[in-house]
Amino acid sequence: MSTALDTLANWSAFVVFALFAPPIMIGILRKTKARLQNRIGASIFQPIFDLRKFLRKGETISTVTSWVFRNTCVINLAAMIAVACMVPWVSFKPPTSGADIFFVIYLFALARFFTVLAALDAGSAFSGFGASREVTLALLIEPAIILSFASLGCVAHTSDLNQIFSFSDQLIQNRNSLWTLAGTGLFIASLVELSRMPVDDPTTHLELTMVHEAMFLEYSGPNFAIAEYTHYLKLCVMFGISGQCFLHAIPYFWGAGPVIQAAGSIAVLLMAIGTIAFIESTSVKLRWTKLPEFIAYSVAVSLLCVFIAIIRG
Amino acid sequence: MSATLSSLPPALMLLGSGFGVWTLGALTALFSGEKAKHHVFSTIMLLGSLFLLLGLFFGQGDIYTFTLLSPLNFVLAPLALRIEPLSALFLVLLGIVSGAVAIFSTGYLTHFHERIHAGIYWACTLIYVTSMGLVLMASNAIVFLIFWEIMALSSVALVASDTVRQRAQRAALIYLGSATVSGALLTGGFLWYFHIFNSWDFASWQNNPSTLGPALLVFFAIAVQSGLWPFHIWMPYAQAEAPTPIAALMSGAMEKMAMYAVIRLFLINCSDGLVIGYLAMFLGTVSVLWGILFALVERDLKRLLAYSTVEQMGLVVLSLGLVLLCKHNGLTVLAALAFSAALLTCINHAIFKTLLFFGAGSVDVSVGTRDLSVLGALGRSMPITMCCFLIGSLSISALPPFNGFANKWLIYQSLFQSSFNSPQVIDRAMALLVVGILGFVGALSVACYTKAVGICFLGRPRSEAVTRAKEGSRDMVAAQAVLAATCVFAGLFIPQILNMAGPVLSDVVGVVPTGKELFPLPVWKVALLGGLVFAAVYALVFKNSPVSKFVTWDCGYGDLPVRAEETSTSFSDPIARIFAPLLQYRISTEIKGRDRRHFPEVIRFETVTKPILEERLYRPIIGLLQTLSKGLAQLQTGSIHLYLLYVFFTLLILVGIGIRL
Repeated sequence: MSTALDTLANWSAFVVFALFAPPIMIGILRKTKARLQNRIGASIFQPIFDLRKFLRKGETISTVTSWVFRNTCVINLAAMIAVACMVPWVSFKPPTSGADIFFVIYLFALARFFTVLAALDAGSAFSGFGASREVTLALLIEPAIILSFASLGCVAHTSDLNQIFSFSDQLIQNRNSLWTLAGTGLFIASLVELSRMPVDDPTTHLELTMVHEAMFLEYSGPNFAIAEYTHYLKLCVMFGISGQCFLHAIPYFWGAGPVIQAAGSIAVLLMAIGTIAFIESTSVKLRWTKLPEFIAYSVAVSLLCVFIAIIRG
Repeated sequence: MSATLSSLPPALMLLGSGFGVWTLGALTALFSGEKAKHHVFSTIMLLGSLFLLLGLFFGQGDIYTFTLLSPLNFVLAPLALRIEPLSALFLVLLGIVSGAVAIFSTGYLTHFHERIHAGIYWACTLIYVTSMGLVLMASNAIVFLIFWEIMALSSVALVASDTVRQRAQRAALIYLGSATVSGALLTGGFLWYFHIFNSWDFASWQNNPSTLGPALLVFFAIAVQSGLWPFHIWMPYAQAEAPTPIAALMSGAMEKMAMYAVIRLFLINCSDGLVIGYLAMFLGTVSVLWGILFALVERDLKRLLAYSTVEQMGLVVLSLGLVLLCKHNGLTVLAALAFSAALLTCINHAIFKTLLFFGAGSVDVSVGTRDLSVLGALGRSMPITMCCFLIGSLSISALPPFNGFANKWLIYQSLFQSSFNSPQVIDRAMALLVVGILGFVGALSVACYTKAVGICFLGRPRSEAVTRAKEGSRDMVAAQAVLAATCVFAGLFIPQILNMAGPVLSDVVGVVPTGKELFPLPVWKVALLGGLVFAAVYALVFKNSPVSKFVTWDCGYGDLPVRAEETSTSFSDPIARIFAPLLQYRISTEIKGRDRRHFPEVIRFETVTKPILEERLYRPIIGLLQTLSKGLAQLQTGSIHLYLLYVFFTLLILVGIGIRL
């Protein structure tokens, strides 16, 4: 009985965290950026208020669009909830089956497929442009993501992410260099995948330079709220999983209790947020033609992971 | 007579009547000439497929060996046929594809009745499917070779069945060339095998270490016929210009015959596993990359699908190569995983590629063009075709929960597991790198198919013709709906499908893991979760929010012209620029005007891609052949004296050889 209660408590804690942490993290990110730029900035709860406002509003959609446009955000949300339930992006996530590396990556691809279709659906030049850039970035970054995960899995002899990130797999203990490199590769890849600086400027007002934002230009009201929340959740999941790599590189956390591990996961998520805030306040967006060079760092790091995994595996 | 008939097992009787219906249909079509009715012969084809499928259903797991027309032997070997689980599996594929094609054909062909000679078309089609079936049942090399050639030649005739278009004739010629090369290599390989084993029977071609030479010949023959890199150049021509039902048969069924041959000759008779295995992995990986990259920049919908067939066949050959390597290293469980991946890829590809070709054919019939740059917004006039094409695209891009995901996942898993199970470091590194390449290819195929669906069916119409488009006829839509439903259901019942392939697994790799062991992912649960999220969002959020419609965001400039919309070329442009050297991607801009830089009169912008292999490899070879044959032509002067001299010299040489021997 007590185990069932434990599971229930564990799940409810996780669901509450997954529901509220993403918008608050974005709030913290915006606040940090504002402070770094000598502004006061909005409250860290502002994204939650915004989401609530959007959910109450009516929706305006383009006359050109089909059912694909209206349902894309829901499909994305469903895919991202499934990913968030499977991927161990925080150490206190309850265990689930099927957290397979390749399954998760293809769920991301499913979301991308529909996002791109919806962007082409409105027949707008901007969203089409964004879609074309999105698939290009995705294709450059995909090998880095898949190889970083696969080299971890190769050492741990499993493709189950929950097992790789469980702080208990003896095969992958004390492989600090591998963990650090995989974390770095995934972090750079996340910057691209989440359309953050220096790849894409999330606060730009010029449609022609957008990647991610351009694809969501046509959305409004509740659908926009869903799209935004999905993106926040994706941000937390991706930075969370790269943060977990760094945590696993620190031997101290392997023996620590669940509370310390949970605190560590939240701390590392905040550190990732702080890092992007710093990057976005101090650097400028790269030119589109320079992006393959930037992404090459991520691919190179993942190839190093492969090298280590194969040689010492 | 009746006694012998009744003693036949019912499964065999059904199978026999299936092939009988097809053969009789072919003969009737030949005699009825141009007046042949499409719906009559498509019914015959459907009937044959149903008989075939029923026969296979009743004869599940049985093995039949029999010799047809025994007094009438083929010159060297009897017409011996054999049905076993492996051939039965591929026969099921053939039955499904030909059945779907039969349903689709009538509606499609009525649009081409002035250009296609109905009698010849149906005769060739029925001969084509019959010969494919017999290739699968052949138990010796002679029977295999004869029906393989009939299959190739009838499909060449079918590619040229459009009697008006010049391009169809050219495509048929290119295809004929490659089919000839493939046939010649295959004949050479089989003769060599016969020389070694002194038998034409496939079953006796086993366990001889010195068969590398013929194995290579046969492997290259198969590579040509299945369109592996660098022999794929005929595919975009033949499959784009062939009538859509034939393109579907070629891509959905005929390519699988080649894969069947790989399994039959290399996996079951496992010798030289290492060389063929590495070769298959190399050619497979390059084909996967090359095929999807060229598919992405293609503007013609059917050529796009043909290039993506190169990719899919590459996946199959890649996993078959892995099976060979795993068997060589004694990793049987891993071999079973890779082999089930290959089988499932064959099955799934047959279903979704046929579906996608039907979609492209419907668009072609409805709009009159397959050029993506003038299509768009077809989803409004052809909603069901769009839905089916979308499902096919999701499947082929390997997205869960559709069926294509399962085979891609199995390939990933088998490569991934051999990255820590293989004994050699080289094998491990190779496996992990191929995983990376497949990730790259996965993203490319998402790009390719979002382009195909998005540019063709969504957005605003790019030309006048699109606005007149109508949904395809009822049978065309029905054929697509059936296949699309199969994609969805197959995606949810992958373990059960793998269980059915168990006997094949035990024949080829010797172990039979259950479907659940091979594919343990909770796809069901995720699909269910998706359904719940949908229900929740619709019930809680969308229900309460009013929707108003307005124009697409245009920065307040007012109605933007359709030319401002993303096109097929501009969508793939960033990727094409990255791979410009490989694709021979050139961009030229020309701006003319009376010295007014900001108000020019003419702006011409052109992008060109050229198939690099044709330009750099095949053109020189063909040029060389032409020069050589011009030299040879000088021997033929038309002078009878000279010819008599040739005859005399030939006689002298022959007599000389005769004396020496």
